[in-house]
Amino acid sequence: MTELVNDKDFVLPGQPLTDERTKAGRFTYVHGGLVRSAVAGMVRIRGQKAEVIPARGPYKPRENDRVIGIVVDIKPSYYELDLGWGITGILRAKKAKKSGKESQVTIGDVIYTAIAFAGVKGVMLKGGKDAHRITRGFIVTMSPTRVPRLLVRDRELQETIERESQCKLYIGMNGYIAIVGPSTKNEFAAASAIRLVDTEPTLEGLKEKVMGVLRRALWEELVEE
Amino acid sequence: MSVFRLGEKPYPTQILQRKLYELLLQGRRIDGRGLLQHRPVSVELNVVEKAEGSAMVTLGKTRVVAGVKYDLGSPYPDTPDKGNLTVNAELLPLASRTFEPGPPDENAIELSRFVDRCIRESQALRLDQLVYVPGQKVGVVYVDVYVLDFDGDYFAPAVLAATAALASARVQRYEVQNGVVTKVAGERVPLPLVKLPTAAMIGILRDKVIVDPTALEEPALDASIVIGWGTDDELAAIQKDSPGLIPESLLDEMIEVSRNVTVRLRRTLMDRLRDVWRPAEDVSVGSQSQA
Amino acid sequence: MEKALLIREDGTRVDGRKPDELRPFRMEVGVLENADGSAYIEMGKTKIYAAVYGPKEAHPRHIAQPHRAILQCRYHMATFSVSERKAPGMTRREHELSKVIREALESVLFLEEYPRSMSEVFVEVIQADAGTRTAGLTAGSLALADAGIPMADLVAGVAVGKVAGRLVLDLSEEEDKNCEADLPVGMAPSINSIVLLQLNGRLTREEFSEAMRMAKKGIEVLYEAQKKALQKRFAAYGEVTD
Repeated sequence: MTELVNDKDFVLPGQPLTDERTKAGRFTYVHGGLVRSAVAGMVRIRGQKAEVIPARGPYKPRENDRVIGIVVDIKPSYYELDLGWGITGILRAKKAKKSGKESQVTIGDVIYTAIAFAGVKGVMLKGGKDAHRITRGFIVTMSPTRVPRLLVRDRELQETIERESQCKLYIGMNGYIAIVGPSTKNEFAAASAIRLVDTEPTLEGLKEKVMGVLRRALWEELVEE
Repeated sequence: MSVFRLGEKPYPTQILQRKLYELLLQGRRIDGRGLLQHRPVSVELNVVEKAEGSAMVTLGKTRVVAGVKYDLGSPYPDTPDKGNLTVNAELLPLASRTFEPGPPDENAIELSRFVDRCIRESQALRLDQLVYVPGQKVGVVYVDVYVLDFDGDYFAPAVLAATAALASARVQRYEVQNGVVTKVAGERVPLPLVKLPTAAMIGILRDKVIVDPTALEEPALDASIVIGWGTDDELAAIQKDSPGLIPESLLDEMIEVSRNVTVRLRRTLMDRLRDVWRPAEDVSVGSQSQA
Repeated sequence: MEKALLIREDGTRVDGRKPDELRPFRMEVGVLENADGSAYIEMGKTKIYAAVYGPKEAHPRHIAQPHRAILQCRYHMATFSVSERKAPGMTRREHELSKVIREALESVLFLEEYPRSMSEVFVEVIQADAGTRTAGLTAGSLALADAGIPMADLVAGVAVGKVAGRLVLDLSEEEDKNCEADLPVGMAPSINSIVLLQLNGRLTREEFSEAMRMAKKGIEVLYEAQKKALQKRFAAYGEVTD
């Protein structure tokens, strides 16, 4: 006997998943010789790992995750970016240029980057060409556990929203999404689509619903004009 | 991200935990004590002459002073036939660098309420014997406890000090005549204390149960609990006073250990109170002639 | 004189319950819009909302811990929740109960996983009819699970009391006012651990053991109900996310 649950089962905190300690994966812990879930969510058993994908919950930083941060403080050699959920990311400032010009980054700036390292030292962000300052559009937030919906099946939903609304989406795994489009109208349309992705209970038929919302949003305003 | 670990402490504490546990396996503590041995206790009575009763208790390097004051007052509306007991405790900033000045924080409130429960719930103090005019005039007993020096476990010495102060207190005698309460000049009587509540702090580290942890040991424990006994056979108060899991399988042992320790403390106290307190003494502070 | 009425001759209680019977109860998860997690519980006439905010930036900032999250908890009773209006603000009792509930919840949380952050649990007692700390703990645990904050187990709590010389489960207010002992217990059932334990009143060693057995039975019933409430909350969840 190994697995006590099946792949894709819904489990709750404390529930035993398997009796093989080596299989403990993300969002699990070991107690009394059993690997148990630490959250409410869906079990995923992949070969040697049993992990749980939380149904809801805070963002937990992982290396290479794409994130969006807001500059909250500027220090002599680095910027502090708020990633939400009480997480502050550190972004090293570029070496001062010979020109002696002040850095162009200011407090409140929105930066799209990736996590270089997350651990006891804190969260370090990637600089250089991995970091982009977003100067137009606006940010919406969604539950971090829902963000993967935009990315599954080769980014199907992301591409649908981008194509229909003519906006570019910068998707932060921390639940911050920047929307940059040709007009406020288009950006609001994209925002309502993202809201739908966040709140709909299931992925089933979501693409069609998203298309509906986008077309209605873009079309209605057209009629009003 | 790796697998979650439950109750994982910061690295220095983990090292301490390991060392401590190694010692526990050999039946020893950092300060040389056995697992179920409390630190040396001393009880000094009447350290504050202006208080009706007082006691200074040291338990190892933890020191607590308690004082009793007595007054006349009105009873609470829901207990017209009982005197009032008010317990307050403070963790003085001079006792530890971690205690801060200011109004009592949740730890001080917890301590006051635990000491209160040990005395009140055990029915050690016969509040019904502190009534002069039912519904109007009753005795008010104030017990104030101050932690002066902190090296872990202030609960046990606080209860010990409060009990000792109550047992050794001598309060103004009042007389009731035609519903009028008057002082009897120069006469002082003991309080109607019929039991000696004592308490013990019990800590666990993995499968080991220890008694009376020091400030050094406390952060390394998995969990701790304080247990007050009114008599040798009757529990009066329990408080799990810190986060952490107590395995169900260890609880019985913890209760049993607390009983043994509190019985020992009660014997020590009884011995110390030999000249001022007798068990189950039927005393009354006022003239109960009308009863 | 009142005490004689609390246990009838046939051993049933003043409200008709058996000694080891819980009051009728109800739990619901996800009852507030703004909170990251929330829950509502009724046990008899006791009615409590619990909400969780976080993890978020620790405030004030200096309380942040580099190796773990801070958990804050406020147990609070509405002024009208009791017969005699309670003064607004926090009483000493509320401060103490906030501490024991926080520490009980902390016992099962993986606080080390969210360093430098803070999470808050708010327990608001709308109506108090005994057993509010344990019902508050039960609801608080559901709200944390709803917020997706990792925890080793759900925790549930109930009090066992000694009334007219008999041990009874889940005291009502009438029983609570006239009881000889009150033993609130909180447990993490899947990992067989006690997270909250208090006693007010006189019990012998044997009575204590028996009371713990009764508490455990009651907690197991509440635990099953907690699981059902969470399953209902996440009924639609079950998609492929890779």
